[in-house]
Amino acid sequence: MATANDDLIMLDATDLGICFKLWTRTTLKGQFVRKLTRSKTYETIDHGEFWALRHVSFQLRRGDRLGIIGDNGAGKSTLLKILVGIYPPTEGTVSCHATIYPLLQLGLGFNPEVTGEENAYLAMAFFGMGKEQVRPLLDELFAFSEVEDFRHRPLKTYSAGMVGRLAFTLATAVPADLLVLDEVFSSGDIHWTEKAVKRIEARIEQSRALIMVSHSMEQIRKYCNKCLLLEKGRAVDLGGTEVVDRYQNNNGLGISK
Amino acid sequence: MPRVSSPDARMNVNEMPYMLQLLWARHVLYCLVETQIKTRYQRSVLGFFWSLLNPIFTMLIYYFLLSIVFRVQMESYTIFMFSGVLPFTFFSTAVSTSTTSLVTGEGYYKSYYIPKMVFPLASVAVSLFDFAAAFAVLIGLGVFFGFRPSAALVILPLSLLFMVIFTMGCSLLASLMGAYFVDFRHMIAVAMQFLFFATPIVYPLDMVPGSLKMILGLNPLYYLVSNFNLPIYYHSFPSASLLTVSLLVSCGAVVLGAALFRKYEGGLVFCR
Repeated sequence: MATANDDLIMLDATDLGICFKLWTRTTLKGQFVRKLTRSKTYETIDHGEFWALRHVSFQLRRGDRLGIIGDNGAGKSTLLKILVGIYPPTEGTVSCHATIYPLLQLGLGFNPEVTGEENAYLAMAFFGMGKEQVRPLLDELFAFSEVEDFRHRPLKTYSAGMVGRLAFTLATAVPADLLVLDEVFSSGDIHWTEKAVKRIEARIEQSRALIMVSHSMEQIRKYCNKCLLLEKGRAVDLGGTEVVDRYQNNNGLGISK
Repeated sequence: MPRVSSPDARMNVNEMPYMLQLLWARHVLYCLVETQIKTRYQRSVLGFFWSLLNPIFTMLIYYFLLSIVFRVQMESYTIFMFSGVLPFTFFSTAVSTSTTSLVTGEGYYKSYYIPKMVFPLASVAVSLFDFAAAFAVLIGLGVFFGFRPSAALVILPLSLLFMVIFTMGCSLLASLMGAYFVDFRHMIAVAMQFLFFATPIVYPLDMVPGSLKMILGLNPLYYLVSNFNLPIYYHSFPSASLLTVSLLVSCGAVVLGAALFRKYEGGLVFCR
């Protein structure tokens, strides 16, 4: 696998931080009710700040497969959203020398009123593809997701499983330089899961770098050669898969840092 | 699995210059416009024909009410009014639908990176589609209500261009306001009603007393609508000064709208 470009940096994250401002806006009604009843239900909380992520730095070289692990609320998904450009970071910079296809929340941008095919065009447009580029792929996409019969029917007539299959298939329709996965090993019946895992493994194979978030240490061990442990928004451990061992040991022994 | 080469594999989208990002996002814009138009007429029997039937009925109602019942003295009043109502409706529909465009588009820009201008711009494009249909009716049916073509009509593409640019600027602003301040979505209907009567659409300019004419001059839509009124109803070309003002007003609006949008679009993922 070693090539001359192996040391090429594909993604450089420097001192990333993101701060969410927390406040409940007082409505006119809220103020009125509070004045009248002196109740505390409508009390305003002033601008609280919450650093969901701070001082996170890492580099991703060609061929790296980075797994991001950590407890719920550690900032894993937030980090991915910054990396793919959905959240602008409050601090720090991300520079990326690759096309990223994010597989984050699947099917979030679906329109239930239009047909599966039209949703496919729209979903692929978010990857920068025009209709003429998508059209030749459609047969394979609908066959793979097993919703061929519903191709020309509105998405609202689909079952949840069908929507999930179509969303997964569309998200994995084209290979990416840098693949970003957020717990997208979709669940379904055994037969589907097997197909889906094969497809995503093929995509991981084709990509030049991978960043994935998962709660399954098994998956991280299987697909990743680098690992980043987040804890309450801080990067506490970065290294090879030994990070997974340390994380599991710490949790298994009940030691909290 | 077919192997497909990923488009422009060298650079990530959010690091491109903004104009290139918009070019990259053109497929999204196109799909948004198409689905918005399609869903509107989904499962309706007459479908697209409603886009034509609506202005036809509106025209008949206005004709009946104003020329037959109220006997407005102005010659072919329906044509006069429609030449103003259509561009104004294009503007007001585009701006009104833009105010919610970033709200309905939330699911998209929270799952992918996308230059968020495509959402208000899609609203403008949908409204332009309606305008085109209604305008065809005005020309086609207008002959029965006293519309006479003249050489001055050749200026109309320019009139429309100014109107579209101005509307784009206002829609960008309105979409931001609608996303950041929920109350704005309720204000916009009232504001549009006020603007409608503050623009010489249902009344000709010479009915307005001199002192109020000054105030009308502050309304940018007055100039932009006149560019339609003059060639369609008065058979005359807009003056050079009118065109200059239109150019300045529309470019000013779009520059201001785009600049503010660029400044505040980053915060959109947090404000909602």
